[in-house]
Amino acid sequence: MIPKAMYRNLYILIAGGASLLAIFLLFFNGSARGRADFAWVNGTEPETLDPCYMTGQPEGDIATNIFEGLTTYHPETLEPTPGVASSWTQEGLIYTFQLRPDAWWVKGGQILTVDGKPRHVNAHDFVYAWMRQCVPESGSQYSFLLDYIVGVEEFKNETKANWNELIARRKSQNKTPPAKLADLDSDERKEVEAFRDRLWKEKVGVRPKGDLVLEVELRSFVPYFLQVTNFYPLFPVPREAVEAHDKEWILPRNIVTNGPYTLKDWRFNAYIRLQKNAHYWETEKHVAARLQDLAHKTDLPRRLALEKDLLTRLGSFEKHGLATLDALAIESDDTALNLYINGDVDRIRRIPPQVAGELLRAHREKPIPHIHAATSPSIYFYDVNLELPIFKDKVAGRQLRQALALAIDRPRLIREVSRAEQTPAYAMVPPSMRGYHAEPRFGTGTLKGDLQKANDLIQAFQSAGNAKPQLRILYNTLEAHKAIAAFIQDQWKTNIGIDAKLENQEWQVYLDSRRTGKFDLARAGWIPDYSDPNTYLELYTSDDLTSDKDPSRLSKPIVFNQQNHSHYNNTHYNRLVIEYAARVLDYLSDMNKRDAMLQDISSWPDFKEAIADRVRTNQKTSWNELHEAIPLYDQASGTEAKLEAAQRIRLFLLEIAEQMLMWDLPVIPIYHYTTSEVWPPELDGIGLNEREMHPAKFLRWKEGRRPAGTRYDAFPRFHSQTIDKP
Amino acid sequence: MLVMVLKRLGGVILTVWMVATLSFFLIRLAPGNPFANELHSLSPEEDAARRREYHLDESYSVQYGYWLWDLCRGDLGDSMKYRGKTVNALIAQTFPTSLALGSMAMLMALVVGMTTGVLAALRQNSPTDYALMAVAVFGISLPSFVFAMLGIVLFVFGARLFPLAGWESYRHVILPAMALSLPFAAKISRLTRVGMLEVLGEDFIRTAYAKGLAERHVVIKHALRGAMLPVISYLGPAFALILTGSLVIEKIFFLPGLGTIFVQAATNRDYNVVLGTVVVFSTLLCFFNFLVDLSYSLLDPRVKGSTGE
Amino acid sequence: MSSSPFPARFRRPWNEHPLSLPANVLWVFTVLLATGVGLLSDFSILAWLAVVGMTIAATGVTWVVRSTLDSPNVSSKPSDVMKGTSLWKDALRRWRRHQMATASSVVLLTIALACASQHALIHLVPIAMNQRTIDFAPDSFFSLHIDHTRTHEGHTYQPPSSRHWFGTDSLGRDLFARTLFGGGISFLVGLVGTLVSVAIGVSWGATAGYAGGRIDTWMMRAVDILYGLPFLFLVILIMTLVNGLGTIASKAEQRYAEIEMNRAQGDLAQVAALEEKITAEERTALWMTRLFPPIVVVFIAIGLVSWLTMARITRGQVLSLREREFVTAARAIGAGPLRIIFLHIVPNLLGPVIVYSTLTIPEIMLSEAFLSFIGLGISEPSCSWGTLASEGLAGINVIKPRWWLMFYPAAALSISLFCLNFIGDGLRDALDPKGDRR
Repeated sequence: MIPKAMYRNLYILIAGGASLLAIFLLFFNGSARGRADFAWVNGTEPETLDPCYMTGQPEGDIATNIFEGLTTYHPETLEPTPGVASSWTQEGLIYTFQLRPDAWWVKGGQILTVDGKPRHVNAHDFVYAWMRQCVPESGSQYSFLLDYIVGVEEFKNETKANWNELIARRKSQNKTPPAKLADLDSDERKEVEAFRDRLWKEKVGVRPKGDLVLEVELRSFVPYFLQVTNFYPLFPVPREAVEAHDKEWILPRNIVTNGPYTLKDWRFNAYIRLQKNAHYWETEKHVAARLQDLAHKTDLPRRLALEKDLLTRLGSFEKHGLATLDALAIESDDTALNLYINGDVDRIRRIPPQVAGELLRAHREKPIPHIHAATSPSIYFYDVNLELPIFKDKVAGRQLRQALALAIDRPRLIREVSRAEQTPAYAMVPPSMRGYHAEPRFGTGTLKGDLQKANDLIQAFQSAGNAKPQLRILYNTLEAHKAIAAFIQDQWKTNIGIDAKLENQEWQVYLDSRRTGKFDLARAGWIPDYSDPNTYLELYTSDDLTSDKDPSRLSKPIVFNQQNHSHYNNTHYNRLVIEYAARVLDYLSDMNKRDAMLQDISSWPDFKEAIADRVRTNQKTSWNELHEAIPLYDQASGTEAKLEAAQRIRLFLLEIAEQMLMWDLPVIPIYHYTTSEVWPPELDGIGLNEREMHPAKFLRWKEGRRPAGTRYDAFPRFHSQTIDKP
Repeated sequence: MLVMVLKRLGGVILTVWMVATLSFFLIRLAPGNPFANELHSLSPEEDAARRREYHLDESYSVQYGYWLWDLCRGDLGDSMKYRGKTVNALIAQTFPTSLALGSMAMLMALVVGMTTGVLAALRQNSPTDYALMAVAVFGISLPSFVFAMLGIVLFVFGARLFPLAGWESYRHVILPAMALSLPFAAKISRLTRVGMLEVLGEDFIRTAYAKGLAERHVVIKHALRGAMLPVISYLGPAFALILTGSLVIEKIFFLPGLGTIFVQAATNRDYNVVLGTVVVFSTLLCFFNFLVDLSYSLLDPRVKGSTGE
Repeated sequence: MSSSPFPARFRRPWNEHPLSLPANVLWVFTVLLATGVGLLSDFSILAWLAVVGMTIAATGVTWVVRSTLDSPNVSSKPSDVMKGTSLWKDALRRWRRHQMATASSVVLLTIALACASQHALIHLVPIAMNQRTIDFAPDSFFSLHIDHTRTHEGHTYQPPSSRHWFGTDSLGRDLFARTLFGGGISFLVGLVGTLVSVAIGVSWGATAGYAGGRIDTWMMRAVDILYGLPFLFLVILIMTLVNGLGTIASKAEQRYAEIEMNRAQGDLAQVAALEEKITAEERTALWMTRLFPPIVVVFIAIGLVSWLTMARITRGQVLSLREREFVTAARAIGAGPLRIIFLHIVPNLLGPVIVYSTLTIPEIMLSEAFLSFIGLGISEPSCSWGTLASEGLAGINVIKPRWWLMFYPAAALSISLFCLNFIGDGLRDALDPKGDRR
């Protein structure tokens, strides 16, 4: 036998290998956790889960499931369904929300108890959360959503002044300036808090009436306000947790939530697991009682009819809701699609652009049940700088801009350059806004049909003594924008003989240039914040409401909307959007005001050509429809019916505004993006909507459980070798 | 012996400190705001408030002092981008992943590399030798991301044996570890072969064979040490290269590891996270080098001191 | 199996057999073809037949080589051995016998020349045509195969065809041109990085080795300490810094361009206002990037990663050379240390240094590819094989795998590294005959 000592080298080797294996086994922290009932790809790792500070879709998708606001989104139409508020009424500009007594705050799976009593979400939680958004040290990005409410702007300004005063005072006392309330001395803090509470009570139109009633008073008619209450910046926040843990209150061990799901596990850069909240208010008993309530009523208003339909179709959350959810933090769209096809996830947000063209084309020919595509409301357009000397002559300038807009072959641009089945845009407002008549506002949809008109316009432009200009197209440094700009440059040169130069700038510089007007044409994009045409139209307003009647107004500086880089200043347009549409209830209730409004609209110089004579696809003009809708308002009885009628009128007013905008063309719309979401056909309680919001509360598997296996067979494969014909 | 160990440990601390200091200044010099990006920026007051919170409004030396003091107490600070998360918490979740991946890759590399190297050396100039060495050259030349891609196409989409991404069960480890380890396996294979051949060419081996000793005995007792020496001296740089290679593998397979955090934090200018990961990585690396040196001197008593050749 | 009396390890090396090269090449191509055919089921029966045919051919040639390995007729000319030779001629002869190395150098030279000519054409053609930018027709040879920035709208994501030899990428840029351009950048980084590495490493090691004593100890201790640094992380931080400065610098440049425009138009008030706006940060960034353009920083930073081993090897060599007679003689006649180092010792270092450099180049190219792959290396609009590979990664999906996006850059990189490794092996054999049979 060979003595053991001789095997020393072998032992050393084995020892080395064994220690490596030991390290591996010791440190392996794979999160083997069993499949969730539903998994989706959430994009980048969420920065925070605090509803007050979050700004991105990844954060929002999680927040919408673990917290709940006054209302929740209907999964298909995005209309408000009862959330923490079981019902609400609207009197003029005042909303009254009735909160339910069993919307509990939950911590660690158990109902939170404060002083021995279970804690439910009450009206004061909303005041706390919304005030938190409005104070100067919060750094919230979405506080502008609260500006619709009476007194909020004043509150913000005065608290800001107060805070600055405090900082100056502390500086003079040689104390460090505070970053947040907790940095203050206790008496300073009491003073500030008392000041703010008093100010809020006095000025702001958010008034809790007891624990379970919240009254909100708006400044103007905002029919989409109830959509805003679904949105996460307006979620309530648990005061106790925030004050106890400050920044760390969102960690799974500290967090207190009120939504249908609780935060079970948060693994950085990997996944977030949500667990069904056993104490959520939508129990079997509740649903049964509610259905019984609604069964006796006939002719339910739309809101209640939707609620009834949802409850009947989907059942109660307690019994039928999914038990566990996984949100994966994977940034790459390609990997997301691969995971979906492999059967590892059940929903992805978009089809990666590099296969989008083929897949969407195939989907158009033979629908793939997993793909849900529609025109997205996001729009790609070019801002036109109206301060340029060539646009001084209003008429000629407008002709030039119309020619520029008509001379772009958008279908070809989409087919050959952007290649993701986008929709050509001949209007600002996309067709997905409920109740709004959206249609192309200029052009025939093909270059052939528009070429003649474009050249005629150029002729008219030139015969007024103007020379063809050389324009600069500004875009931020990205190959995709460069390709589009190059195409458009080529189109203008070939079709109407206008020269354009391309100019690219790095993002920050580009933003600066747009803001300061250092451009001729600038590439831009807009994603709507809510489902109402106002989100597009208010971008082009200014505060000049009177200069056409009172020229002295022009001696004062005009403040343009933050996004109005073109400096479009049309007083008629401003009045239409800021006054008439926003305060439509005022103008409708007073006959004199109403007539004055109609008179004013028709006094716009191009009114006849752009609006009165423009027959739309439904064979009517917007002006006629407006006149037809007004008597319906007078005839309507009951608050809800009157509000609905007012909203219709408001939408026509906005349409007229859009027609003005698309006549003057301070912006040239190019295309609308396409939303293409992917989820399996076995999934119920989900629908394609333009905000891409899918609260998990409503998700149900049609067969009762998640389908097993992969989805390789559901997707067409494309032969690698085929050369794509554009 | 003890003196040498202490000296080496001192070297470790010194190195880690140097790296940390260098990184400290590098990341702060890089232009860019840790609190803002293209999508949203803060108002001047909020920006100022955040800066105060993280001591960014003070001079570099004061900031350095704060950071060093916290480091001595084991507190690596708070993340600037992911509010509410401490760097310690982030590292606690991701460091084990990277370490497990690295050690499994190293284990695979050693096992595969040494066996093939020994085999090739024992059958020098035979077809086995040439085949193995040809494969080894391939292994050295192909970058690990190429292996990873091939692996994904063959085993994930093709044979559907392994999952595509994530870090859950042992199945999730195999493909990434294989892709990461192959270049090192190849290199170790070549080194083993060279080392063994060198020993096998010496006279006392011929004597051993002449005495009639079995091949296995000769190999294990004598030749193996020759094979192990170059491999062990390669282990140090190999470990460093495995750590950097893991950055690429983590990106491809979406593993929630330390490398990804580092890259993200560098891009986001998340100072504390960058420094935390750099400190962890360099400590790990130095410590591993220290262990390697120890075993080298254990193995080859001719070697002493720090600059062994 | 030939019944040779010699044990395997004492046979003539495979690499010296004249037919070994074709055998190797055949095997390589067989394996590649088989992999390709296996991965993409798009290939036809013809391809399968080709695989089978090549396997047969490869096996045949291998058999021939094995059986004739020991026959004395098949060998290099014996007369060479008789002639008197110098160290270098000896090395050259041994190099030439190593067939894979010579073949590799041919292949590598071809690739490198192709990349270099693409770069040359890109830079020289506009100069020759007296234009600032190239304005060729979209279908010309230049636009299709040489111009790597030219986007061919309507031809995005095309597979390889006669029009686009390597296919096109997401923006319609020809991949062949991009691969050549990226190769040029990768080679440039490899070469210059190696030069930096050699320069620093050799000087450090030679000084330490020659000086000896305490200086040597401290210099080598520094090397030991530096060995523990995760260099690539520091390089990443440096790259972040440099890229960040680059962004600010381009902002500053655009502001200056605007100022120039306004000055040309005579709008002096505007000029003053704009000049005010340029911050100190932008000014600093601008002159720093002018002094150290990002690509130069990449060279230096990456070179810094690999000089340590060079220093150690050099020191080892110098230590042994120092004791040789010719050095003692030089010292005896009064030559100063610098003269001794650079005139006597360094030339004798050349062998190992050259060998090690050829092995450093692929190491550096690989590091650069890694950095670019994770997005922290060469940035737009430039590209290297690493960035191309990372774009190729995105092309791997189930629905329509864009295999060419990954394949060609990865193949180019792999083949180049492969060749470099063989050349390094060959050089080592040629210049270091004592370490035989490696």
